[in-house]
Amino acid sequence: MGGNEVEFSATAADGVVVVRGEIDLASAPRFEHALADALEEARGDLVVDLAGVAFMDSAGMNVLVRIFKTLDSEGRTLRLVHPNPSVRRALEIGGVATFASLG
Amino acid sequence: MPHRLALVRAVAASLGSAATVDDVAAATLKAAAEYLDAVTSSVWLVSEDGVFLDLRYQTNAHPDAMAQFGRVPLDADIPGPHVVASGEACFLESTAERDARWPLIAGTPSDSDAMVVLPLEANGRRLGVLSIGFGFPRSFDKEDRVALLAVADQCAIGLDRARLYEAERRQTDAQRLLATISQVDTSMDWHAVAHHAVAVCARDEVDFCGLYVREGHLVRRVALASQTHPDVALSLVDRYPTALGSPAPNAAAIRTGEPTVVGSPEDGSITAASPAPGYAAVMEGVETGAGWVFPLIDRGVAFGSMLFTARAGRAFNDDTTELLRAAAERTAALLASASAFAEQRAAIEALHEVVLPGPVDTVNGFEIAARYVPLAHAGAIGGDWWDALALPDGRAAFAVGDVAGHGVPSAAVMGQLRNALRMSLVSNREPAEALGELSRYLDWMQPTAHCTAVAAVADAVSGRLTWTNAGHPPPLLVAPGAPPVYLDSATAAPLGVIGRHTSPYAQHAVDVPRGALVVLYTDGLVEGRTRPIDAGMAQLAELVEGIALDQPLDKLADEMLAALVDSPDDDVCLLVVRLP
Repeated sequence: MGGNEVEFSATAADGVVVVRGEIDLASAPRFEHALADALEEARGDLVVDLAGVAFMDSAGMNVLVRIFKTLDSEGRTLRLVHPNPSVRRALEIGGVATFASLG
Repeated sequence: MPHRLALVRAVAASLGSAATVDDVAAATLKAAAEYLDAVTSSVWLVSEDGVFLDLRYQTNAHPDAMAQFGRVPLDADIPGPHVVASGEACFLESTAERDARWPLIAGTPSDSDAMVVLPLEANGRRLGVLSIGFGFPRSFDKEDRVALLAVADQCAIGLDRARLYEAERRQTDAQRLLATISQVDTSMDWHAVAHHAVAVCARDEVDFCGLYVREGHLVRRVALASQTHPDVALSLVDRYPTALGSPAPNAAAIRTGEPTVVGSPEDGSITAASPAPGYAAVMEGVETGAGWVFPLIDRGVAFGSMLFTARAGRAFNDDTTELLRAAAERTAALLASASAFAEQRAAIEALHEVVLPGPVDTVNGFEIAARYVPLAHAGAIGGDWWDALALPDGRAAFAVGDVAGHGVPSAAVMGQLRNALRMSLVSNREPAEALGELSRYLDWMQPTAHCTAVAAVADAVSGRLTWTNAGHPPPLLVAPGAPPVYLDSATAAPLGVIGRHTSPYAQHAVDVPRGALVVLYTDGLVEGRTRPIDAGMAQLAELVEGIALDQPLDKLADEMLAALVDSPDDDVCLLVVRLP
């Protein structure tokens, strides 16, 4: 990674958001935007595919908490799939694994 | 009268080097006296609003006439306005002819007899008139008339050129002034911004420039500068406040939110900024010209005012007034930005001072060392906190927390959570119960917020440590003769996350040997720009593995910060506890 540009992309289809790159303070707003859009477009549970995510810090965790609170208030659930071991560990430490299902 | 061509050449030559309106008028009047044997001459210019004809320059005019006709309406039935309106010169061969043709000015005292009033026109603009008086009755033949009109034309061309030049120069001056005002770092104290603004504005035509800020029912003089009386200006700063209700212009502009005119002192229209005798003593003998006080407005509210006065006996023209208005607006924006920054910083400093515990080093026998490292970059504030409490039953409670987000809102939530947790723990709630209450409190208080935290209670007698973790990086236990171990048996959702399926917080316990260390921290210690949290945690464990556990905790805490803090994007809390 060079400079402050963080590699990040998110594409959504049918309630599945595929995220790539790094999720930190710089990219967290884009991450939140992508999830919020998907949350509006789909009606069921929200699935976030983290296979392409190399790194996620507490800023990303904060996004997941806020998205979960909205989903939960509508009776929907949050599923996080294919995190790499480091991201999975971060999700466990941040308590995200206690309210979102990790697959 | 010299030959027409020679006269025009001579006038043109003397006007050629005249750059300003003042210079052109002076050269014209001099030429009139020198080449035309005029005993009086005067230049009158149409006011910028196009309503009046103003006497701007004169030689030998009779004082009574000046007092009466210094400014005349353009629709008045007298020679000057008539010439402006018709574009035709007016030739009067004697005072008798003048009085017969213009009854309104009949009998006006004059040192001249015959007179001419010539139109000043250039590029289709009627600028004013040139009036020339002769000491004797005389006629004006065709040659004379052409020569006089040629002189007026030269004068008008010179005036028009000077007007354009001055407008252009003012434009440049305006840009330069606004740019200079902005050359200030708004992250510095806003007082410094205020002093900079008045210092750069008190130049050229501006003698006094002052900046006032409303504080309750008083208006404080924050900064004042003067070209002619710098010492007086300096001695008035922060002294002799004006009552907000006073008719003084600096208060009136704030009260009304409107630009307020400052009359010149000699016309008695200025109310002194302060009725204090000390103020009058300082101002004694200080003469200022007319000017303006502009309100300083932020988000629709006048929080202060800015004063500009001209040199004694002078006033600002419309262009300068506009420039000064723009200068006040620019200054208001800079001050608003500087004070927003200062407010935010003051808020966090106050919160941390009030909210974060003082420099305690033992709590019911437990030695502690605590550190708080604020965000490195300006303008942002974190929501981290730590706490160490001596409980009434002899145990000690420890906590660290991290409210999501930055800025004053996060800091305010942090302050409330910290106090609420104190109340629960001091009331003998166990950590799980205390954090459960805190989570519900946060969800009720601010549903959009969440917070991670660890709360622990330690008993020095039994060596029992109980703790609960709400989505927070786990505490690190460093016991003598054993590798460091994270107390990460289970985490739970952050505080404020109360889902349909979230379970109550679990409580964990471990028996800790004497002399062991427990390290509580926020994620800023172990996360980095590109360092995942587990990597940072591994680094922390490695750092403390095999260290002397009886070393001073302050030294150890500093070493941890130095070795681990990696990102300026997050604040850091660190609490190291040694069991007795």
